[in-house]
Amino acid sequence: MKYLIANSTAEVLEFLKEAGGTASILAGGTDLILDIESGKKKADTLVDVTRIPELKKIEEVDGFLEIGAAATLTEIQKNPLVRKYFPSLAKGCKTVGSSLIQNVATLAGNVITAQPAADAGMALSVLDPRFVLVDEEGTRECGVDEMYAGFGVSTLDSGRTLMTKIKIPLPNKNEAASFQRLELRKSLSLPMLNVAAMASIKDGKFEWVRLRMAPVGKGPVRAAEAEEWLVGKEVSAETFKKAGELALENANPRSNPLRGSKEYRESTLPVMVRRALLEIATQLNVMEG
Amino acid sequence: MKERLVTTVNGRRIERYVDPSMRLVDFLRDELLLTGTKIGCKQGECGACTIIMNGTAVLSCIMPVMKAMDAEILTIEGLEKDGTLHPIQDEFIKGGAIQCGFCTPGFIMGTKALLDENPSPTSEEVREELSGHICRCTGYKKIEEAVLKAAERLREEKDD
Amino acid sequence: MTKYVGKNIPRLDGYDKATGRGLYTTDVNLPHMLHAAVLRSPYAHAKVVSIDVSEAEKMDGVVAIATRDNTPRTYFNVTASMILTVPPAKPVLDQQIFPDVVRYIGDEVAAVAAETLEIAKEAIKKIKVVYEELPAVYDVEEAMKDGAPQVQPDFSPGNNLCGGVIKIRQGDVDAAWDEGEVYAEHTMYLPRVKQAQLETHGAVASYNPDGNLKVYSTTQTPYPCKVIIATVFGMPSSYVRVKNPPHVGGGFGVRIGISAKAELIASALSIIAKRPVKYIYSREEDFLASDTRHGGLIKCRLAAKKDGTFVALDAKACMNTGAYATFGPDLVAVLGACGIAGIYGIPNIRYDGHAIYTNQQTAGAFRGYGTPQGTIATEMCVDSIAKQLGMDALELRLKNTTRVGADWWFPYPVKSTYLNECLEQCAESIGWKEKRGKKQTGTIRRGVGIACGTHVSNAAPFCVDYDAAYMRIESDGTLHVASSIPEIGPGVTTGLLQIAAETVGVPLETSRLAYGDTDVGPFDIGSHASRTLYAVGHLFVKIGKELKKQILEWAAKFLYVDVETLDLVDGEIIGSCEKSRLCIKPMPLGELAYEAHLRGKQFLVHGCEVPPNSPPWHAHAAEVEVDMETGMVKVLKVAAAHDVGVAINPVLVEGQIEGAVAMGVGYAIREEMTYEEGKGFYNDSYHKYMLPTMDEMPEIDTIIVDAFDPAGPYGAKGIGECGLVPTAPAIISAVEDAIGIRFYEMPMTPGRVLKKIKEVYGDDLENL
Repeated sequence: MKYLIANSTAEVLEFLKEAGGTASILAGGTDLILDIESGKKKADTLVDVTRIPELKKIEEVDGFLEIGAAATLTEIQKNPLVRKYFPSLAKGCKTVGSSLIQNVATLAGNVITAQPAADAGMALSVLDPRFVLVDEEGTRECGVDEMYAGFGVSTLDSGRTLMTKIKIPLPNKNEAASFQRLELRKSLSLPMLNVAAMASIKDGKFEWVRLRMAPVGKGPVRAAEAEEWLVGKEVSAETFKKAGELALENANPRSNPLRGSKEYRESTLPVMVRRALLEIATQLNVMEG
Repeated sequence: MKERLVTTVNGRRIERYVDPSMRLVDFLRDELLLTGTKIGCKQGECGACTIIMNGTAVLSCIMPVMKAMDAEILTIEGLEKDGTLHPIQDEFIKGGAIQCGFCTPGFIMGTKALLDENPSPTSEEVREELSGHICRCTGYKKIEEAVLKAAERLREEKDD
Repeated sequence: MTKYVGKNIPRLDGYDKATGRGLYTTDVNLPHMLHAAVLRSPYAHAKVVSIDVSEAEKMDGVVAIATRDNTPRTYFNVTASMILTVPPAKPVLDQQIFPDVVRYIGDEVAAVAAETLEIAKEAIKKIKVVYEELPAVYDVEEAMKDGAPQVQPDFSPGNNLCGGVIKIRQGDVDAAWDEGEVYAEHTMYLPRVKQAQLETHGAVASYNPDGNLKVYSTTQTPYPCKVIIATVFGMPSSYVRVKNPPHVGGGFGVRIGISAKAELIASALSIIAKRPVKYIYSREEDFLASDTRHGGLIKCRLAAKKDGTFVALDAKACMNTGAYATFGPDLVAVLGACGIAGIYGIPNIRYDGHAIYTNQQTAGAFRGYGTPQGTIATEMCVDSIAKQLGMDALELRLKNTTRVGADWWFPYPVKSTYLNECLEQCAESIGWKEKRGKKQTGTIRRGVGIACGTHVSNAAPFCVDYDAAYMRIESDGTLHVASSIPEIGPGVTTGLLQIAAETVGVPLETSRLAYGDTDVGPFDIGSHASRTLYAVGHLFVKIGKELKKQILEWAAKFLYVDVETLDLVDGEIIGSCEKSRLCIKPMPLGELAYEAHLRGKQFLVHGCEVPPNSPPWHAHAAEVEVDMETGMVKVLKVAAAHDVGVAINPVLVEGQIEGAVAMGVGYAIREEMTYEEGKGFYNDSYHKYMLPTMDEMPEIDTIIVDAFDPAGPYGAKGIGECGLVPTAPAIISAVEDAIGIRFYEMPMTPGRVLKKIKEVYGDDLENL
């Protein structure tokens, strides 16, 4: 195995090209190292991107919060801008593994490993993020649904493409986001369920809602029925309840020997959805928590 | 193929040729014979292998050795100075925060990183920050108390 | 006044452990050492038809391959029960290093020693094994049916009952049953849970062709480990040395005897390779191929009078012991004795214990050794009687607990019990009077519960259980004690030296205890059954007094005074002022010891003792919070009150209680090994096993009640296992108080809890 430390984006692309697709980009590596050892993933060359200064930046640029792909979950959740604009993202980042994992793992990695219940990726998914990808052909942006190819499979080929940053549009005053996690243990455990939501509320009514849930399918699954139904609905306990029920229409959870049966997950998903919506209403002072 | 690694461990500059597929914990334990850093799971799930790299507590068991390039590494062996214990070590001993001791080096390193960054943590912060460390012996109560005591002592030492 | 006993002396291995200097088995590296990996069965039950190692042998760096074809075929039992079973009972010896029939997913088939661990792991993959699958059985109730697949046809012909039915009888349950006025009858289903100690099993074995074998080991019983190794390999016991390095990263019962098979496999490979071999279990192997706690079911019924007096208790336990006996039969005995027959004064008791073979990994000793399971069963019936009578659950317990001098089933007397004090103090701490039985409404509901129990301070006289040790005074007057006990974490080596220094009358600061090495100390059964401080302490008091007497007698002759006029205090010979010239100036023991040395005399004693036994007592109260919509149970507080007699080192005692409470909390609400047919147990890592992390811990109020036991050393009793005993039943009781539902299946995971809530409260849980 070769281990290359890149100092610039250009150098990453150069290394990837040289390796002819047999390399893999390495950021935190908290999953990749174990996956390579178990044979789940293959890489002859690892390209370490954590020393590229521009990939470490977290900054506000033209109405977006930009998070460099090599910024660690700890750096993100402690960042004042993140905490100011997206407390739910900070919360999601803080529930991945443990603080020891968060100290090296990245948000980009949390998305690219494509585990359906990845907490940080879930919290991010409703914020309308744009992933900035660079490869030989140039730079492009893509959205959440273009990132997930399957269970634990990303559309991004880490042997050819580098994610440089994640851009998140800054919220308006009447918008807020939330993240709910149903967990057997706060640390060192995947959630039984997680739900993320973002909404705009005007005059006590939902203008729009983005609602995603996991692990109920491939990646962060959109609760499309609930989202559509919620538009224009009054912010109330009744509304949350109906939305919770509708969320089930898009959810197909599996049974896990540890983290809940299909039945249990179906029973509690509506509860998590309700709580996620209530959290938003509370943040926007529309309701009391 | 071996690659050249230059790193600093407990203040000592080290230059070695290493197999880059090696994990940092194996480098520390097998190559440098710093066996104070323990392996409890080798999957990043117990915290026994925690060391401090460039001021941050990290899991050396799931870290490729080459991440140590040009880094400043502190292991449990680097904490005591000339036979004098670091206040964290001292409080762990005095407070009954050690039993079998296998999680102890990791816990102490995790505590060091925590207190370096946050000298006055609340109980809740201590619990949150150190929850990546599994201890099966103590029930964590005396560990939490020892961390808070050590924090107090370190603040006092700083004031003096 | 004591100088060391009862004092919070910081543990003496603290420096070693806090600085990372101290060695554990995994840290041991010997010259020319090889590394081992093991091939394990992918089948739950199969005949091993053939093993072809030719491809593996060809690999560069592979030095030795061990299979059934080149290792001893001796039958053994990895646990110390192999050498501590009292005749006429016989230990069940049903294991071989590499069996002809594999009986669970993970059973050992072959092992490789190679220059590196990576090579050994690669070589394992190249061994070709032909299996012939056999029908398998996993569930206790299935395994007990006629015609069930036979797991151990040679050892339990015709059924899967391991070691016979264990019976406990007191009075006449059938005759007394109708005297009851209220009855409780329930069946409790218990999960398999794992010790999950931080250091995995491991051994470094070094065989020298001159016949000597030295094994660094994670065992919690070095001497029994040595005897088992010698027996399996047919070596003189004197040629085998087992040594903790000296630290052991936890035990909790999982390595009483051999550490799973680590020492045997490392030794087998070392004997073949004639080089040192290191075999460290991966976390996955540790989870899936070593003893767990016994799961299974306990049927229990209790008859009581209307005034709450217990009349008769009748229980039957069927515990899943897995593919091999290990501690199965012994453990179901303790389950019945301490968990069923011990807690309350009940004139009529009947208990039948069954250890049942299945094609799953073995279950054996885990902190509490059956007592937690039995206590959960007893306490579910006690709560049920209280409910039926409309009586306070605390009052009912206070009325029925075992008393000093009770006529009970155990072969030793109850010389002390402060169980009622424990009950009252933990109830007070939890706010029992204000909180118990308060009607709860809404989504988040709170409740408090209580439970109590007893255990042992060692395993005598139920099994061979004794200690031997040496004590000497060095020529400078300092104390040296040698024992082969291990230190697996509780701090017994500190507590025991406190006892030794106190008894002899020398400074603790200059005293030393050498331990964890069969070449250093004589026979000691090792750490199990909450015994080490109590039993070895008993021995140390006895030989410490002898040593002191020897010193004073020699001093008396040397100083030409009567021995009665002398005493040894804090390392100085002092005399009574009336008769002795020493009145003016005490003589340092160092001076005396040197004078003795010049005359060819070392003060030296040894001893070998079977300890008495004293039941420790304990009661816990718990407060919980239940989320009615998600079934999530959160434990808010556990008040843990313990009668440990005199606490030799209170901080260390608290540490034992708090650690055990954490395990009990996990047992009650989270921890569980889940079996998937064809795959084995799901829980192969910390990430898939929900033991508590720091942020999940409830507040613990640790209460050591003021107590004294006449039989124990300085009034002490055992503590190691006790904190786990009443924790789970107290939490179950608290959940019942919160939501009105009693759980007869553990752990109370959100899935189980929500299912029951829905059964009782219906589907609309939002507007309760």
